[in-house]
Amino acid sequence: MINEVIKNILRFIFLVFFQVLILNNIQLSGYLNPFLYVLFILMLPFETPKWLVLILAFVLGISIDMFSNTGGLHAAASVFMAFLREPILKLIAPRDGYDVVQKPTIQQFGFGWFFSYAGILVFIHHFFLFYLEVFHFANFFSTFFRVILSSFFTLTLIFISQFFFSNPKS
Amino acid sequence: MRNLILFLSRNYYIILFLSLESLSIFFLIQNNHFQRSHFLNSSNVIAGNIYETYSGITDYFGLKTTNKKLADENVMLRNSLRQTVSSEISSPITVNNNLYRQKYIYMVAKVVNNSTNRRKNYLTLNIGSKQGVKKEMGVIASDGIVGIVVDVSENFCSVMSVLHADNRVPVTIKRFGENSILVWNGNEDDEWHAKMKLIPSHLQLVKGDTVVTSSNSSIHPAGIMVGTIESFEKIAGNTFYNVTVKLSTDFNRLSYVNIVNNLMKDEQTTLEKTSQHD
Repeated sequence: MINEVIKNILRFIFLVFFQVLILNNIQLSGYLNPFLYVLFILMLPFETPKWLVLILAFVLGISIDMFSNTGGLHAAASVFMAFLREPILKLIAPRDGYDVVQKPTIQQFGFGWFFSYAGILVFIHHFFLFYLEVFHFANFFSTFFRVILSSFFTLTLIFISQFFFSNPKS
Repeated sequence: MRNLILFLSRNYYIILFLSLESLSIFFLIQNNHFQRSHFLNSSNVIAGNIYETYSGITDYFGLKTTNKKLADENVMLRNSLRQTVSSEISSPITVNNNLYRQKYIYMVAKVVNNSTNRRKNYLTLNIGSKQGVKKEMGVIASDGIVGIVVDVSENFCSVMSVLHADNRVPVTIKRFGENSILVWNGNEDDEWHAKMKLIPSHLQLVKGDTVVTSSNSSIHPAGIMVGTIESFEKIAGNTFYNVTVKLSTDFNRLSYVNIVNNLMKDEQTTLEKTSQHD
């Protein structure tokens, strides 16, 4: 339990630094902005109380905002995504439900489950983020294009990180 | 009362969600004002120090270009010295200091954080209120205009870049002196280009016309390089051109910049305010 808490704190710190120092400097034609930091919310254990998920998402988003001068943009998107994590988990639950000891990883639930879990939530996060950033629906498709491309890029990074950084046996 | 507590405890999750969400959006809206909330930006102590350490590492990669830029600027400055001009008049001209009063003071600052890939881009510089930086001072680099100081802490300041959707820079075309405004829209423009508004279509524009800051601004000195005209087109049914400017500043490689302190700015703005009130 304590071990799990420390692991999550380290993951939080690593992801925030990776996001603000490396990923925020990536620029490909202004369309691709990967936001890998949402992986923290995705990887929280199932038994995390849902109010804690909201608060952690808020702290995560505010940390990113602090470094990138975006006010509460990332916080708003992260909290929204964290709010929908519970319903999405219920929606795509396997037939026999979730076990408390299990973690939402690709190793435990397989590619298909993880793809829909991460895919839906990342898309929701990016959609909310980019439309909140432009704050109007003019140029709807240009923004939508950014949402799709960036979600795709973030998802790719998430999958790469899954294969690199998780222990297959756990 | 009991019903209220019951209601709150039953719906605490939704209430928590809504309050966190509105708090975030409150911060976001605060952030859009020119005077932004002071503790949530990269000029605060934590973010500023981390960015400074990081840029201390990454600076080594850009040393070559920085050196070349400094050398170029040195040559330019040396060329403008009086000693390099041979005088036709035998007695040297003395400058009467009562006639030339100093209007601008420049300060050197190092860029510790910089972004170009968002719709609202900011820079963080390594000097702040201790070194005399104040809000609404201009920032320029050796190759052109950079932005405006919007927030100051003790040792850092954050700068609204020209590459910011809300930034409006008064500019002029050097050849005509026609006043205009430079805008940058992150959805359409990349980090090398911006648009110019209100250029009347009777002007005979040429590709490559120089665009400089205009004397209308109390923030930047007049005549600072902004860029060159890359393309222009007449809009059907409109008396204005649609002008695209190629920015001369290389925002991706900014390392040292100058902050401009206009010593007469307060005098100018107070005067303008009083005459507007009447």
